[in-house]
Amino acid sequence: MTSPLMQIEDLSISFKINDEWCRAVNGISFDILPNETLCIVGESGCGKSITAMSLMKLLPSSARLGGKIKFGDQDILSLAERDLEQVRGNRIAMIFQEPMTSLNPVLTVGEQIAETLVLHKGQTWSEARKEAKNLLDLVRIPDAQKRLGQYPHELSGGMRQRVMIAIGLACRPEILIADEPTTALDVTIQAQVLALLDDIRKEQGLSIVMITHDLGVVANVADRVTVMYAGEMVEKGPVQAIFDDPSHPYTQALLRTVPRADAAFELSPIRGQVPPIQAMPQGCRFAPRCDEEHAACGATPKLSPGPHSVACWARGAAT
Amino acid sequence: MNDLLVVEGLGKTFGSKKFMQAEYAVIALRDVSFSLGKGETVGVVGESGCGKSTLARCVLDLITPTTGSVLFDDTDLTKLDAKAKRSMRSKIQMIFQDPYSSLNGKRTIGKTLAEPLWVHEGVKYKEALPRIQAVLQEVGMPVSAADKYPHEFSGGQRQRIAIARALILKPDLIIADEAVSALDVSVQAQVLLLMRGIQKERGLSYLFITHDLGVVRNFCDRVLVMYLGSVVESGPVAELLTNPKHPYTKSLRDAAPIPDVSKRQALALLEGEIASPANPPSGCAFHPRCARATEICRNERPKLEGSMDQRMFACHNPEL
Repeated sequence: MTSPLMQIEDLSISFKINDEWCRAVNGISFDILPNETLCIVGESGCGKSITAMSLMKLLPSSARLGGKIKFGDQDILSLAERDLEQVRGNRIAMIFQEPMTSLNPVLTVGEQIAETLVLHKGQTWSEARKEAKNLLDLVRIPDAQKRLGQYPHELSGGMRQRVMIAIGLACRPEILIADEPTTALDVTIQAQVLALLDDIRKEQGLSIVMITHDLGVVANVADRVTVMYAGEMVEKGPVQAIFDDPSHPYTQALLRTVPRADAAFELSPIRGQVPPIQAMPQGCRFAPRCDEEHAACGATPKLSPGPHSVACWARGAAT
Repeated sequence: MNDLLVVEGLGKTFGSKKFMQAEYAVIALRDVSFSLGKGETVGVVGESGCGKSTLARCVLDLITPTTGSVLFDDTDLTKLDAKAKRSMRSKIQMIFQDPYSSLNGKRTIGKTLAEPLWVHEGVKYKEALPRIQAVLQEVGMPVSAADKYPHEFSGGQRQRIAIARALILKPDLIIADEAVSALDVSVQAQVLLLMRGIQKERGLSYLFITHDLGVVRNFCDRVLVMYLGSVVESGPVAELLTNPKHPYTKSLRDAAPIPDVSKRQALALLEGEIASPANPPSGCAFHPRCARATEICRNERPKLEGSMDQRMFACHNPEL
């Protein structure tokens, strides 16, 4: 088995709300393998995005972090700010959902791409501009030379997301974290951007961590999947196993709520909603919304061992 | 079927002819015709910028259409005077996408729900209260919600409140503009089931605007597919999605990701992006992105042909 590129061990993230520490992410562990697409899926408020942010330690100083994030021989969480700058945007890059708010409206596209190269790689501006054109070609923006001189408002949403990807790829990162990169796009443009990301992953040999709430996207791009609920990992495994044999009641319920374009079926919603982090239930956090019951649901289940693992008492979880 | 809404030749051109400014015309809607039966749900799909929302607003006359007519219960809405239009509007209500910006944050839910009653019927808050409580219960909210403010509710609950506001005047038609798009799937399913239950109970009709073909497949009876201001294909949902005739419908369907790994495919890529309505392509608006385009598509705009209540499509070289 290939050794992982990054190992996340017992990561927890807490925020202080009304003088009380609330755990938004509660002891999750997973690996990122070389050249894979790992999808982290779950509803809003389940901790996907802050987990992604923590991989680069991009959280506000008010957050309390626990556990380890091993990247090579470093632990991201114990790095000083200076050393983090060597990692952020350089070895690990990130793209966000809303390409309009993450681009600077007063700088041209070319300047924003070149800036990354000047800051991280110490290139001169003229070298960086040449490289910027290559990057726009890489993300298949037609007429790249002209686009370099344009401002973000002159581009469509899909084009802006391509520019974000170009900025992310500028320093040839080993890991690209994509937080809902296609959620704001039309399906046709979404298909283009997903295909682009997958081609780039193959060409450049990088790993992609994709955060999404869209199970359709997951089924189409993931190699491995991690399902999160209320700050905990409830199931993880190879994409085939997750969709063919979903085990956790939450994963199963989630799949039954997705309307599919290829078939009509009776949607069955999950009752209630994701609890706020100040009021997490004790024990299994999904229990109040779950249709199944087990004598042990009052205690927290751990992920079962093996490549396809699940944290549920009714599925024989370990203590 | 008895048609509640008949839209004929609806068009909207936005333009300017101001001093010191270049004259321009943006054709946002072009010759849109469709009908909607009592108790029926018609979906409108298409990419951003295809005119879905303009269509919704023109039906309600929130934007005055440039051409065409909107017959609602056999009355032409575009020909009514302001007063008659206002009373007619109580029969058509709208639900918007973003439940965070569509509710007034400074008003209690009760006040928000009372406003339509005051405007249309002159009913005061105290008298309106029983109706407010009844409608809150109908959408699955506790009666106590009337005294609370929007920020105390989650996105799904707010959308229920928005539905309650639309229902309180007992409309015959609800126009839902991306009403479930901002919600998580589990909550989306709750809201869709709620809307379907209400439809069964009250027999009302929905004009359901969305970009999500999965939602269309599971919620709508018929669907209109729009591209650059025109309807390119329409028909019963299952038939249209199983056997699309217009190449655009087919690309749209094939781009929608299915949550099933065995259906994983190289998502069929539709090249390019929707053109600007200020500068539309010649002939068929879709031809620059179409794999089946031929000479005639570049020169001649195809007509929407077929029968109103069955399949219609506008294409020179339809899929087989």
